[in-house]
Amino acid sequence: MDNSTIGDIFDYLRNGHFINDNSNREDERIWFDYLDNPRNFEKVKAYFEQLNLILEKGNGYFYFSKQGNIQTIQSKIETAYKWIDIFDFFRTYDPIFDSGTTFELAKIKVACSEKVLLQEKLNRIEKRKMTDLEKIKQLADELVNADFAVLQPDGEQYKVLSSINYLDRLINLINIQEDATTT
Amino acid sequence: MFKFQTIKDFINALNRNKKPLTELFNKRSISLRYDDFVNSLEEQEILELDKLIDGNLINVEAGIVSLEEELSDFFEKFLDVRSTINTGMVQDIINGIRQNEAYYLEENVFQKKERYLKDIKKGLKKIEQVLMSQVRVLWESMEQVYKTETNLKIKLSKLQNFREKRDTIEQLVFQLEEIISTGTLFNSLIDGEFKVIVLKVRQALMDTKRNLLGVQENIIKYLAKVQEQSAAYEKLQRIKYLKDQYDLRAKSNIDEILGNQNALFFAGRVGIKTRLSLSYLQTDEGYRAIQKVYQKQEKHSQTPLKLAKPIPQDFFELKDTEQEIFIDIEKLKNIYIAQGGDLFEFVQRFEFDQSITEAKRLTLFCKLISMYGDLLDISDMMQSTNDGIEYATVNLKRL
Repeated sequence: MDNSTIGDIFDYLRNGHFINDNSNREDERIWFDYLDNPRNFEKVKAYFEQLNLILEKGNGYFYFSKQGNIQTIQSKIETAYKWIDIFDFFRTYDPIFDSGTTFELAKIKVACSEKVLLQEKLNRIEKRKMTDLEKIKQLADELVNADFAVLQPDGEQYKVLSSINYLDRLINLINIQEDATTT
Repeated sequence: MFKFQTIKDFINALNRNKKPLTELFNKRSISLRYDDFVNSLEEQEILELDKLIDGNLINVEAGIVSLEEELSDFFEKFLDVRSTINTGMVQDIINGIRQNEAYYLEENVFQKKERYLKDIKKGLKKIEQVLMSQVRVLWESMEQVYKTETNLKIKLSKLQNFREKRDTIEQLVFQLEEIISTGTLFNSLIDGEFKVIVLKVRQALMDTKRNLLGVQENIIKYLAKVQEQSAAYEKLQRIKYLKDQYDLRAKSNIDEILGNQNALFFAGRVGIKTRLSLSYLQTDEGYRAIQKVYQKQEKHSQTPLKLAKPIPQDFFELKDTEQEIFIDIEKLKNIYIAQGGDLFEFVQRFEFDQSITEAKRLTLFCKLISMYGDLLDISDMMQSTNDGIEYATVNLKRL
Protein backbone atom coordinates (compact mmCIF):
# COMPACT_ATOMS: atom_id res chain seq x y z
CA MET A 1 0.00 0.00 0.00
CA ASP A 2 1.51 3.32 -1.05
CA ASN A 3 1.65 6.60 0.83
CA SER A 4 -1.20 8.12 -1.18
CA THR A 5 -3.53 5.38 0.11
CA ILE A 6 -2.46 6.07 3.68
CA GLY A 7 -3.21 9.71 2.85
CA ASP A 8 -6.68 8.68 1.67
CA ILE A 9 -7.22 6.69 4.87
CA PHE A 10 -6.12 9.72 6.87
CA ASP A 11 -8.44 12.06 4.97
CA TYR A 12 -11.35 9.67 5.47
CA LEU A 13 -10.83 9.02 9.17
CA ARG A 14 -10.01 12.63 10.09
CA ASN A 15 -13.55 13.59 9.08
CA GLY A 16 -14.89 11.44 11.89
CA HIS A 17 -15.70 8.48 9.61
CA PHE A 18 -15.37 4.79 10.43
CA ILE A 19 -13.70 2.27 8.10
CA ASN A 20 -16.03 -0.75 8.03
CA ASP A 21 -15.43 -4.32 6.94
CA ASN A 22 -18.97 -4.52 5.49
CA SER A 23 -19.04 -1.17 3.73
CA ASN A 24 -20.48 -0.97 0.21
CA ARG A 25 -17.44 1.08 -0.85
CA GLU A 26 -14.77 -1.10 -2.34
CA ASP A 27 -11.88 1.22 -1.39
CA GLU A 28 -13.09 1.23 2.21
CA ARG A 29 -13.08 -2.59 2.33
CA ILE A 30 -9.56 -2.61 0.84
CA TRP A 31 -8.42 -0.15 3.54
CA PHE A 32 -10.05 -2.36 6.17
CA ASP A 33 -8.28 -5.49 4.94
CA TYR A 34 -5.00 -3.63 4.90
CA LEU A 35 -5.40 -2.28 8.44
CA ASP A 36 -6.71 -5.63 9.66
CA ASN A 37 -3.26 -7.10 9.16
CA PRO A 38 -1.58 -6.60 12.60
CA ARG A 39 1.76 -5.67 11.05
CA ASN A 40 0.22 -2.97 8.85
CA PHE A 41 -1.95 -1.77 11.70
CA GLU A 42 1.02 -1.21 14.02
CA LYS A 43 2.94 0.55 11.27
CA VAL A 44 0.09 2.92 10.31
CA LYS A 45 -0.86 3.47 13.96
CA ALA A 46 2.72 4.57 14.78
CA TYR A 47 2.65 6.85 11.73
CA PHE A 48 -0.57 8.60 12.79
CA GLU A 49 0.58 8.86 16.39
CA GLN A 50 3.12 11.42 15.28
CA LEU A 51 0.13 13.54 14.25
CA ASN A 52 -1.42 13.17 17.69
CA LEU A 53 -4.10 10.84 16.29
CA ILE A 54 -4.74 7.34 17.57
CA LEU A 55 -5.88 4.70 15.12
CA GLU A 56 -8.33 2.53 17.05
CA LYS A 57 -9.61 -0.93 16.15
CA GLY A 58 -13.09 -2.18 16.98
CA ASN A 59 -15.04 -5.29 16.06
CA GLY A 60 -15.14 -4.89 12.27
CA TYR A 61 -14.21 -1.19 12.14
CA PHE A 62 -11.41 1.36 12.57
CA TYR A 63 -11.59 4.98 13.68
CA PHE A 64 -9.50 7.88 14.89
CA SER A 65 -9.39 9.25 18.37
CA LYS A 66 -7.32 12.19 19.53
CA GLN A 67 -4.81 12.41 22.32
CA GLY A 68 -6.09 14.66 25.06
CA ASN A 69 -9.58 15.95 25.63
CA ILE A 70 -11.28 17.10 22.46
CA GLN A 71 -14.64 18.30 23.68
CA THR A 72 -16.29 19.47 26.84
CA ILE A 73 -18.11 16.80 28.78
CA GLN A 74 -21.37 18.66 28.15
CA SER A 75 -20.90 18.47 24.41
CA LYS A 76 -20.07 14.74 24.60
CA ILE A 77 -23.15 14.14 26.77
CA GLU A 78 -25.32 15.87 24.17
CA THR A 79 -23.89 13.71 21.38
CA ALA A 80 -24.25 10.55 23.46
CA TYR A 81 -27.86 11.39 24.40
CA LYS A 82 -28.79 11.97 20.79
CA TRP A 83 -27.43 8.54 19.85
CA ILE A 84 -29.04 6.81 22.82
CA ASP A 85 -32.40 8.05 21.48
CA ILE A 86 -31.74 6.99 17.90
CA PHE A 87 -30.22 3.63 18.84
CA ASP A 88 -33.08 2.93 21.24
CA PHE A 89 -35.62 3.69 18.51
CA PHE A 90 -34.09 1.25 16.03
CA ARG A 91 -33.56 -1.42 18.72
CA THR A 92 -37.18 -1.08 19.79
CA TYR A 93 -38.11 -1.72 16.17
CA ASP A 94 -35.68 -4.63 15.92
CA PRO A 95 -33.95 -5.81 19.13
CA ILE A 96 -31.28 -7.45 16.98
CA PHE A 97 -30.44 -4.21 15.22
CA ASP A 98 -26.84 -5.21 14.69
CA SER A 99 -24.05 -5.24 12.13
CA GLY A 100 -25.44 -6.70 8.90
CA THR A 101 -29.09 -6.10 9.82
CA THR A 102 -31.11 -4.62 6.99
CA PHE A 103 -34.13 -2.36 7.33
CA GLU A 104 -36.60 -0.47 5.17
CA LEU A 105 -38.27 2.83 6.02
CA ALA A 106 -41.71 1.66 4.87
CA LYS A 107 -41.56 -1.41 7.13
CA ILE A 108 -40.58 0.71 10.13
CA LYS A 109 -43.51 3.00 9.35
CA VAL A 110 -45.88 0.02 9.41
CA ALA A 111 -44.33 -1.11 12.71
CA CYS A 112 -44.91 2.39 14.14
CA SER A 113 -48.60 2.14 13.38
CA GLU A 114 -48.74 -1.28 15.04
CA LYS A 115 -46.57 -0.47 18.06
CA VAL A 116 -47.63 2.55 20.11
CA LEU A 117 -44.31 2.58 21.97
CA LEU A 118 -42.37 2.92 18.73
CA GLN A 119 -44.63 5.71 17.52
CA GLU A 120 -44.18 7.56 20.83
CA LYS A 121 -40.43 7.26 20.62
CA LEU A 122 -40.45 8.57 17.06
CA ASN A 123 -42.55 11.57 18.04
CA ARG A 124 -40.29 12.34 20.99
CA ILE A 125 -37.09 12.24 18.96
CA GLU A 126 -38.38 14.15 15.97
CA LYS A 127 -40.76 16.87 17.08
CA ARG A 128 -40.83 18.78 13.80
CA LYS A 129 -44.03 18.73 11.80
CA MET A 130 -43.49 16.11 9.14
CA THR A 131 -44.88 12.74 8.12
CA ASP A 132 -43.79 9.59 9.97
CA LEU A 133 -41.92 8.41 6.90
CA GLU A 134 -40.00 11.69 6.74
CA LYS A 135 -39.18 11.42 10.44
CA ILE A 136 -37.89 7.86 10.03
CA LYS A 137 -35.91 8.98 6.98
CA GLN A 138 -34.29 11.71 9.11
CA LEU A 139 -33.15 9.09 11.62
CA ALA A 140 -31.91 6.77 8.89
CA ASP A 141 -29.99 9.70 7.38
CA GLU A 142 -28.37 10.31 10.76
CA LEU A 143 -27.21 6.69 10.79
CA VAL A 144 -25.85 7.00 7.25
CA ASN A 145 -24.10 10.33 7.91
CA ALA A 146 -22.42 8.88 11.00
CA ASP A 147 -21.32 5.76 9.05
CA PHE A 148 -23.49 3.41 11.12
CA ALA A 149 -25.54 2.36 8.09
CA VAL A 150 -25.49 2.55 4.35
CA LEU A 151 -28.25 2.79 1.75
CA GLN A 152 -28.15 -0.23 -0.52
CA PRO A 153 -27.98 0.20 -4.33
CA ASP A 154 -31.72 -0.60 -4.63
CA GLY A 155 -32.38 2.74 -2.90
CA GLU A 156 -34.84 1.20 -0.43
CA GLN A 157 -32.96 -1.07 1.90
CA TYR A 158 -30.44 0.12 4.46
CA LYS A 159 -27.67 -2.06 5.86
CA VAL A 160 -26.24 -1.61 9.34
CA LEU A 161 -22.45 -1.37 9.35
CA SER A 162 -19.99 -2.89 11.81
CA SER A 163 -19.32 0.52 13.36
CA ILE A 164 -22.66 0.12 15.18
CA ASN A 165 -20.56 -2.03 17.54
CA TYR A 166 -18.94 1.22 18.67
CA LEU A 167 -22.30 2.37 20.09
CA ASP A 168 -22.87 -1.06 21.60
CA ARG A 169 -19.48 -0.93 23.28
CA LEU A 170 -20.16 2.55 24.59
CA ILE A 171 -23.49 1.42 26.07
CA ASN A 172 -21.78 -1.62 27.53
CA LEU A 173 -19.13 0.53 29.23
CA ILE A 174 -21.75 2.56 31.10
CA ASN A 175 -22.35 1.12 34.55
CA ILE A 176 -25.67 1.82 36.18
CA GLN A 177 -25.92 1.95 39.97
CA GLU A 178 -27.53 -1.14 41.43
CA ASP A 179 -30.35 0.79 43.09
CA ALA A 180 -31.22 2.84 39.97
CA THR A 181 -34.91 2.55 39.14
CA THR A 182 -35.65 0.36 36.18
CA THR A 183 -38.47 0.49 33.70
CA MET B 1 -68.29 -34.13 0.88
CA PHE B 2 -67.09 -35.24 -2.52
CA LYS B 3 -65.11 -38.48 -2.66
CA PHE B 4 -62.94 -39.81 -5.44
CA GLN B 5 -64.28 -43.14 -6.65
CA THR B 6 -61.08 -44.58 -8.07
CA ILE B 7 -57.36 -43.92 -7.82
CA LYS B 8 -57.52 -42.95 -11.49
CA ASP B 9 -60.02 -40.15 -10.73
CA PHE B 10 -57.81 -38.93 -7.91
CA ILE B 11 -54.64 -38.87 -10.05
CA ASN B 12 -56.53 -37.21 -12.90
CA ALA B 13 -57.80 -34.52 -10.51
CA LEU B 14 -54.24 -33.90 -9.33
CA ASN B 15 -53.05 -33.69 -12.93
CA ARG B 16 -55.83 -31.35 -14.04
CA ASN B 17 -55.08 -29.00 -11.16
CA LYS B 18 -51.33 -29.28 -11.11
CA LYS B 19 -50.86 -25.51 -11.45
CA PRO B 20 -52.95 -24.38 -8.42
CA LEU B 21 -51.72 -27.35 -6.34
CA THR B 22 -48.08 -26.56 -7.14
CA GLU B 23 -48.70 -22.93 -6.30
CA LEU B 24 -50.19 -23.87 -2.93
CA PHE B 25 -47.36 -26.30 -2.17
CA ASN B 26 -44.71 -23.70 -3.00
CA LYS B 27 -46.43 -21.18 -0.73
CA ARG B 28 -47.19 -23.61 2.10
CA SER B 29 -45.06 -21.71 4.59
CA ILE B 30 -46.91 -18.39 4.17
CA SER B 31 -50.52 -17.36 4.81
CA LEU B 32 -52.02 -17.08 1.34
CA ARG B 33 -55.26 -15.09 1.08
CA TYR B 34 -58.04 -16.94 -0.72
CA ASP B 35 -58.97 -13.86 -2.81
CA ASP B 36 -55.38 -13.34 -3.98
CA PHE B 37 -55.12 -17.01 -4.84
CA VAL B 38 -58.36 -17.01 -6.85
CA ASN B 39 -57.24 -13.90 -8.75
CA SER B 40 -54.12 -15.73 -9.88
CA LEU B 41 -56.13 -18.60 -11.43
CA GLU B 42 -57.58 -19.17 -14.91
CA GLU B 43 -61.35 -19.39 -15.33
CA GLN B 44 -61.30 -23.17 -15.74
CA GLU B 45 -59.16 -23.59 -12.61
CA ILE B 46 -61.58 -21.49 -10.55
CA LEU B 47 -64.41 -23.85 -11.59
CA GLU B 48 -62.37 -26.84 -10.38
CA LEU B 49 -61.47 -25.13 -7.11
CA ASP B 50 -64.76 -25.92 -5.35
CA LYS B 51 -64.34 -29.57 -6.21
CA LEU B 52 -60.86 -29.59 -4.68
CA ILE B 53 -62.14 -27.86 -1.53
CA ASP B 54 -65.09 -30.29 -1.36
CA GLY B 55 -62.74 -33.21 -1.88
CA ASN B 56 -60.58 -32.06 1.04
CA LEU B 57 -57.50 -31.47 -1.06
CA ILE B 58 -57.57 -27.75 -0.32
CA ASN B 59 -58.51 -26.02 2.93
CA VAL B 60 -60.03 -22.58 3.30
CA GLU B 61 -60.14 -21.17 6.80
CA ALA B 62 -60.70 -17.56 7.81
CA GLY B 63 -59.96 -16.35 4.29
CA ILE B 64 -56.66 -18.23 4.13
CA VAL B 65 -56.19 -21.00 1.59
CA SER B 66 -53.77 -23.91 2.03
CA LEU B 67 -53.03 -27.37 0.79
CA GLU B 68 -54.53 -30.17 2.89
CA GLU B 69 -51.87 -31.14 5.45
CA GLU B 70 -51.81 -34.83 4.47
CA LEU B 71 -51.31 -33.95 0.82
CA SER B 72 -48.62 -31.46 1.71
CA ASP B 73 -46.83 -34.09 3.85
CA PHE B 74 -47.15 -36.57 1.01
CA PHE B 75 -45.50 -34.17 -1.46
CA GLU B 76 -42.82 -33.22 1.04
CA LYS B 77 -42.01 -36.84 1.70
CA PHE B 78 -41.60 -37.80 -1.95
CA LEU B 79 -39.78 -34.64 -2.91
CA ASP B 80 -37.58 -34.98 0.18
CA VAL B 81 -38.28 -31.37 1.12
CA ARG B 82 -39.70 -31.86 4.59
CA SER B 83 -40.04 -28.63 6.44
CA THR B 84 -40.98 -30.02 9.84
CA ILE B 85 -39.01 -32.08 12.30
CA ASN B 86 -40.81 -35.28 13.17
CA THR B 87 -38.78 -37.34 15.59
CA GLY B 88 -41.80 -39.51 16.37
CA MET B 89 -41.74 -40.80 12.79
CA VAL B 90 -38.07 -41.82 13.17
CA GLN B 91 -38.84 -43.53 16.45
CA ASP B 92 -41.70 -45.48 14.76
CA ILE B 93 -39.36 -46.75 12.03
CA ILE B 94 -36.78 -47.86 14.61
CA ASN B 95 -39.47 -49.62 16.63
CA GLY B 96 -40.64 -51.34 13.43
CA ILE B 97 -37.11 -52.59 12.70
CA ARG B 98 -36.80 -53.89 16.29
CA GLN B 99 -40.13 -55.74 16.14
CA ASN B 100 -39.48 -57.26 12.73
CA GLU B 101 -36.06 -58.43 13.92
CA ALA B 102 -37.71 -60.18 16.88
CA TYR B 103 -40.35 -61.78 14.61
CA TYR B 104 -37.68 -62.83 12.15
CA LEU B 105 -35.67 -64.61 14.83
CA GLU B 106 -38.76 -66.28 16.27
CA GLU B 107 -40.31 -67.35 12.97
CA ASN B 108 -39.50 -70.74 11.50
CA VAL B 109 -41.46 -70.58 8.26
CA PHE B 110 -39.03 -69.49 5.55
CA GLN B 111 -41.48 -67.36 3.50
CA LYS B 112 -42.62 -65.50 6.59
CA LYS B 113 -39.03 -64.99 7.72
CA GLU B 114 -38.25 -63.50 4.29
CA ARG B 115 -41.18 -61.09 4.59
CA TYR B 116 -39.89 -59.82 7.95
CA LEU B 117 -36.41 -59.44 6.49
CA LYS B 118 -37.86 -57.48 3.59
CA ASP B 119 -39.63 -55.16 6.03
CA ILE B 120 -36.41 -54.68 8.01
CA LYS B 121 -34.56 -53.75 4.79
CA LYS B 122 -37.37 -51.36 3.88
CA GLY B 123 -37.19 -49.76 7.36
CA LEU B 124 -33.43 -49.37 7.15
CA LYS B 125 -33.63 -47.75 3.70
CA LYS B 126 -36.27 -45.38 4.96
CA ILE B 127 -34.32 -44.40 8.04
CA GLU B 128 -31.24 -43.72 5.94
CA GLN B 129 -33.23 -41.10 3.97
CA VAL B 130 -35.25 -39.73 6.86
CA LEU B 131 -32.40 -39.16 9.31
CA MET B 132 -30.41 -36.86 7.09
CA SER B 133 -33.48 -34.96 5.90
CA GLN B 134 -34.48 -34.38 9.54
CA VAL B 135 -31.05 -32.99 10.32
CA ARG B 136 -31.25 -30.77 7.24
CA VAL B 137 -34.62 -29.40 8.35
CA LEU B 138 -33.16 -28.81 11.81
CA TRP B 139 -30.25 -26.83 10.34
CA GLU B 140 -32.52 -24.75 8.10
CA SER B 141 -35.13 -24.04 10.79
CA MET B 142 -32.46 -23.06 13.28
CA GLU B 143 -30.73 -20.69 10.83
CA GLN B 144 -34.04 -19.17 9.78
CA VAL B 145 -35.20 -18.55 13.34
CA TYR B 146 -31.86 -17.06 14.28
CA LYS B 147 -31.84 -14.72 11.30
CA THR B 148 -35.48 -13.71 11.07
CA GLU B 149 -37.16 -13.94 14.47
CA THR B 150 -37.14 -10.45 15.96
CA ASN B 151 -38.77 -11.23 19.30
CA LEU B 152 -35.87 -12.17 21.54
CA LYS B 153 -37.92 -14.23 24.00
CA ILE B 154 -39.58 -16.28 21.25
CA LYS B 155 -36.25 -16.65 19.53
CA LEU B 156 -34.63 -17.97 22.69
CA SER B 157 -37.50 -20.37 23.27
CA LYS B 158 -37.44 -21.67 19.68
CA LEU B 159 -33.67 -22.21 19.78
CA GLN B 160 -34.02 -24.12 23.06
CA ASN B 161 -36.73 -26.22 21.43
CA PHE B 162 -34.38 -27.01 18.53
CA ARG B 163 -31.75 -28.07 21.04
CA GLU B 164 -34.21 -30.55 22.55
CA LYS B 165 -35.11 -31.89 19.09
CA ARG B 166 -31.44 -32.24 18.29
CA ASP B 167 -30.88 -34.22 21.51
CA THR B 168 -33.83 -36.47 20.64
CA ILE B 169 -32.43 -37.19 17.17
CA GLU B 170 -29.08 -37.99 18.80
CA GLN B 171 -30.81 -40.48 21.13
CA LEU B 172 -32.45 -42.12 18.10
CA VAL B 173 -29.07 -42.39 16.39
CA PHE B 174 -27.68 -44.14 19.50
CA GLN B 175 -30.63 -46.55 19.52
CA LEU B 176 -30.09 -47.42 15.88
CA GLU B 177 -26.34 -47.84 16.39
CA GLU B 178 -27.04 -50.24 19.22
CA ILE B 179 -29.42 -52.30 17.10
CA ILE B 180 -26.93 -52.53 14.24
CA SER B 181 -23.91 -53.36 16.40
CA THR B 182 -25.51 -55.70 18.95
CA GLY B 183 -28.62 -57.09 17.25
CA THR B 184 -28.44 -60.85 16.67
CA LEU B 185 -29.73 -60.56 13.14
CA PHE B 186 -27.18 -57.91 12.18
CA ASN B 187 -24.34 -60.07 13.42
CA SER B 188 -25.45 -63.34 11.94
CA LEU B 189 -27.21 -62.76 8.66
CA ILE B 190 -25.19 -63.23 5.55
CA ASP B 191 -27.03 -61.50 2.75
CA GLY B 192 -25.20 -59.32 0.24
CA GLU B 193 -28.02 -56.84 -0.19
CA PHE B 194 -28.61 -56.60 3.55
CA LYS B 195 -24.91 -55.93 4.15
CA VAL B 196 -24.92 -53.08 1.59
CA ILE B 197 -28.01 -51.54 3.21
CA VAL B 198 -26.49 -51.76 6.69
CA LEU B 199 -23.28 -50.19 5.38
CA LYS B 200 -25.25 -47.29 3.96
CA VAL B 201 -27.13 -46.87 7.24
CA ARG B 202 -23.82 -46.84 9.14
CA GLN B 203 -22.56 -44.13 6.78
CA ALA B 204 -25.80 -42.14 7.25
CA LEU B 205 -25.43 -42.49 11.04
CA MET B 206 -21.90 -41.13 10.88
CA ASP B 207 -22.99 -38.20 8.71
CA THR B 208 -25.92 -37.52 11.02
CA LYS B 209 -23.69 -37.54 14.11
CA ARG B 210 -21.24 -35.17 12.47
CA ASN B 211 -24.05 -32.81 11.49
CA LEU B 212 -25.62 -33.02 14.92
CA LEU B 213 -22.33 -31.86 16.40
CA GLY B 214 -22.39 -28.87 14.05
CA VAL B 215 -25.99 -28.13 15.01
CA GLN B 216 -25.08 -28.30 18.68
CA GLU B 217 -22.14 -25.98 18.18
CA ASN B 218 -24.32 -23.43 16.36
CA ILE B 219 -27.17 -23.65 18.83
CA ILE B 220 -24.79 -22.93 21.71
CA LYS B 221 -23.29 -20.04 19.75
CA TYR B 222 -26.71 -18.67 18.79
CA LEU B 223 -28.14 -19.03 22.28
CA ALA B 224 -25.14 -17.15 23.71
CA LYS B 225 -25.53 -14.45 21.05
CA VAL B 226 -29.26 -14.09 21.69
CA GLN B 227 -28.66 -13.85 25.44
CA GLU B 228 -26.02 -11.22 24.75
CA GLN B 229 -28.40 -9.31 22.44
CA SER B 230 -31.13 -9.59 25.01
CA ALA B 231 -28.86 -8.20 27.74
CA ALA B 232 -27.67 -5.37 25.44
CA TYR B 233 -31.26 -4.52 24.56
CA GLU B 234 -32.33 -4.43 28.20
CA LYS B 235 -29.35 -2.31 29.18
CA LEU B 236 -30.05 0.20 26.39
CA GLN B 237 -33.64 0.43 27.58
CA ARG B 238 -32.52 1.12 31.16
CA ILE B 239 -30.05 3.76 30.02
CA LYS B 240 -32.68 5.40 27.85
CA TYR B 241 -35.14 5.38 30.75
CA LEU B 242 -32.65 7.02 33.14
CA LYS B 243 -31.72 9.56 30.46
CA ASP B 244 -35.38 10.50 29.96
CA GLN B 245 -35.73 10.85 33.75
CA TYR B 246 -32.66 13.16 33.83
CA ASP B 247 -31.05 10.62 36.15
CA LEU B 248 -28.41 9.07 33.94
CA ARG B 249 -25.54 11.33 34.92
CA ALA B 250 -26.29 10.92 38.63
CA LYS B 251 -26.90 7.19 38.57
CA SER B 252 -24.22 6.00 36.17
CA ASN B 253 -20.60 6.55 35.34
CA ILE B 254 -21.42 8.11 31.94
CA ASP B 255 -19.40 11.28 32.72
CA GLU B 256 -16.33 9.21 33.48
CA ILE B 257 -16.80 7.01 30.39
CA LEU B 258 -17.32 9.95 28.04
CA GLY B 259 -14.45 11.81 29.69
CA ASN B 260 -12.16 9.07 28.43
CA GLN B 261 -13.75 8.89 24.97
CA ASN B 262 -11.85 10.97 22.49
CA ALA B 263 -13.05 9.41 19.27
CA LEU B 264 -13.49 11.87 16.42
CA PHE B 265 -17.08 10.64 16.40
CA PHE B 266 -17.60 13.13 19.23
CA ALA B 267 -15.46 15.89 17.79
CA GLY B 268 -16.56 16.00 14.20
CA ARG B 269 -13.33 16.38 12.27
CA VAL B 270 -9.72 17.36 12.46
CA GLY B 271 -9.20 20.50 10.41
CA ILE B 272 -5.85 21.30 8.85
CA LYS B 273 -4.69 24.87 8.16
CA THR B 274 -1.73 25.25 5.84
CA ARG B 275 0.23 28.20 4.39
CA LEU B 276 1.28 28.49 0.78
CA SER B 277 4.64 26.97 0.06
CA LEU B 278 6.87 29.75 -1.31
CA SER B 279 9.35 27.30 -2.80
CA TYR B 280 6.47 25.57 -4.64
CA LEU B 281 5.33 28.90 -6.08
CA GLN B 282 8.84 29.41 -7.51
CA THR B 283 8.64 26.18 -9.51
CA ASP B 284 7.20 25.95 -13.05
CA GLU B 285 4.21 24.10 -11.70
CA GLY B 286 3.69 26.77 -9.07
CA TYR B 287 3.89 29.46 -11.80
CA ARG B 288 1.22 27.66 -13.81
CA ALA B 289 -0.93 27.46 -10.70
CA ILE B 290 -0.56 31.24 -10.16
CA GLN B 291 -1.52 31.87 -13.80
CA LYS B 292 -4.56 29.67 -13.40
CA VAL B 293 -5.69 31.53 -10.28
CA TYR B 294 -5.05 34.90 -12.01
CA GLN B 295 -7.10 33.89 -15.04
CA LYS B 296 -9.89 32.73 -12.81
CA GLN B 297 -9.91 36.02 -10.94
CA GLU B 298 -9.78 38.00 -14.18
CA LYS B 299 -12.69 36.08 -15.51
CA HIS B 300 -14.55 36.72 -12.30
CA SER B 301 -13.84 40.49 -12.33
CA GLN B 302 -14.89 40.77 -15.99
CA THR B 303 -18.27 39.40 -15.35
CA PRO B 304 -20.62 42.31 -16.10
CA LEU B 305 -22.62 43.33 -13.12
CA LYS B 306 -26.29 43.02 -13.47
CA LEU B 307 -27.69 46.55 -13.46
CA ALA B 308 -31.12 47.52 -12.36
CA LYS B 309 -33.29 49.73 -14.62
CA PRO B 310 -32.85 53.51 -14.16
CA ILE B 311 -35.08 55.02 -11.51
CA PRO B 312 -37.84 57.03 -13.23
CA GLN B 313 -37.63 60.83 -12.84
CA ASP B 314 -41.10 61.19 -11.38
CA PHE B 315 -39.97 59.08 -8.43
CA PHE B 316 -38.00 62.10 -7.19
CA GLU B 317 -40.82 64.61 -7.66
CA LEU B 318 -42.67 65.14 -4.45
CA LYS B 319 -46.37 64.92 -4.73
CA ASP B 320 -48.57 67.43 -2.93
CA THR B 321 -49.60 65.06 -0.25
CA GLU B 322 -46.05 64.12 0.47
CA GLN B 323 -44.69 67.65 0.88
CA GLU B 324 -42.84 68.23 4.06
CA ILE B 325 -44.59 70.82 6.17
CA PHE B 326 -42.81 72.24 9.15
CA ILE B 327 -44.93 73.77 11.86
CA ASP B 328 -43.43 75.21 14.99
CA ILE B 329 -45.64 73.77 17.74
CA GLU B 330 -44.03 75.88 20.45
CA LYS B 331 -44.86 79.05 18.50
CA LEU B 332 -48.41 77.86 17.88
CA LYS B 333 -48.86 77.21 21.63
CA ASN B 334 -47.63 80.70 22.52
CA ILE B 335 -50.07 82.30 20.07
CA TYR B 336 -52.90 80.23 21.57
CA ILE B 337 -51.94 81.20 25.13
CA ALA B 338 -52.06 84.81 24.04
CA GLN B 339 -55.46 84.40 22.35
CA GLY B 340 -57.15 81.74 24.52
CA GLY B 341 -60.60 80.34 23.67
CA ASP B 342 -61.64 76.98 22.25
CA LEU B 343 -58.48 75.13 21.18
CA PHE B 344 -60.23 73.18 18.41
CA GLU B 345 -61.66 76.35 16.94
CA PHE B 346 -58.25 78.01 17.25
CA VAL B 347 -56.45 75.27 15.30
CA GLN B 348 -59.19 75.13 12.67
CA ARG B 349 -59.05 78.86 11.99
CA PHE B 350 -55.35 79.50 12.35
CA GLU B 351 -53.79 80.71 9.15
CA PHE B 352 -50.60 78.81 8.51
CA ASP B 353 -47.91 79.88 6.01
CA GLN B 354 -48.78 76.95 3.77
CA SER B 355 -52.15 75.43 3.23
CA ILE B 356 -52.58 72.30 5.32
CA THR B 357 -55.14 69.53 5.25
CA GLU B 358 -57.98 68.95 7.70
CA ALA B 359 -56.31 65.81 8.91
CA LYS B 360 -53.11 67.70 9.66
CA ARG B 361 -55.12 70.29 11.66
CA LEU B 362 -56.66 67.47 13.69
CA THR B 363 -53.21 66.01 14.35
CA LEU B 364 -52.00 69.40 15.55
CA PHE B 365 -55.01 69.67 17.89
CA CYS B 366 -54.15 66.29 19.45
CA LYS B 367 -50.44 67.10 19.55
CA LEU B 368 -51.05 70.36 21.48
CA ILE B 369 -53.22 68.51 24.02
CA SER B 370 -50.66 65.77 24.56
CA MET B 371 -47.69 68.14 24.80
CA TYR B 372 -49.22 70.93 26.84
CA GLY B 373 -51.97 69.15 28.70
CA ASP B 374 -51.08 70.82 32.02
CA LEU B 375 -51.85 74.28 30.54
CA LEU B 376 -55.21 73.15 29.21
CA ASP B 377 -58.60 72.51 30.69
CA ILE B 378 -60.06 69.40 29.00
CA SER B 379 -63.76 69.15 29.74
CA ASP B 380 -66.16 66.18 29.38
CA MET B 381 -68.32 68.21 27.03
CA MET B 382 -68.18 66.82 23.52
CA GLN B 383 -68.76 68.83 20.35
CA SER B 384 -68.96 67.77 16.73
CA THR B 385 -68.16 69.35 13.39
CA ASN B 386 -70.28 69.25 10.27
CA ASP B 387 -68.02 66.46 9.01
CA GLY B 388 -69.03 64.32 11.98
CA ILE B 389 -65.75 64.66 13.89
CA GLU B 390 -66.39 64.54 17.62
CA TYR B 391 -63.99 66.31 19.95
CA ALA B 392 -63.73 67.29 23.60
CA THR B 393 -64.02 71.00 24.41
CA VAL B 394 -60.58 72.27 25.38
CA ASN B 395 -59.88 75.72 26.81
CA LEU B 396 -56.92 77.47 28.32
CA LYS B 397 -56.63 76.76 32.02
CA ARG B 398 -57.41 79.73 34.18
CA LEU B 399 -54.58 80.53 36.48
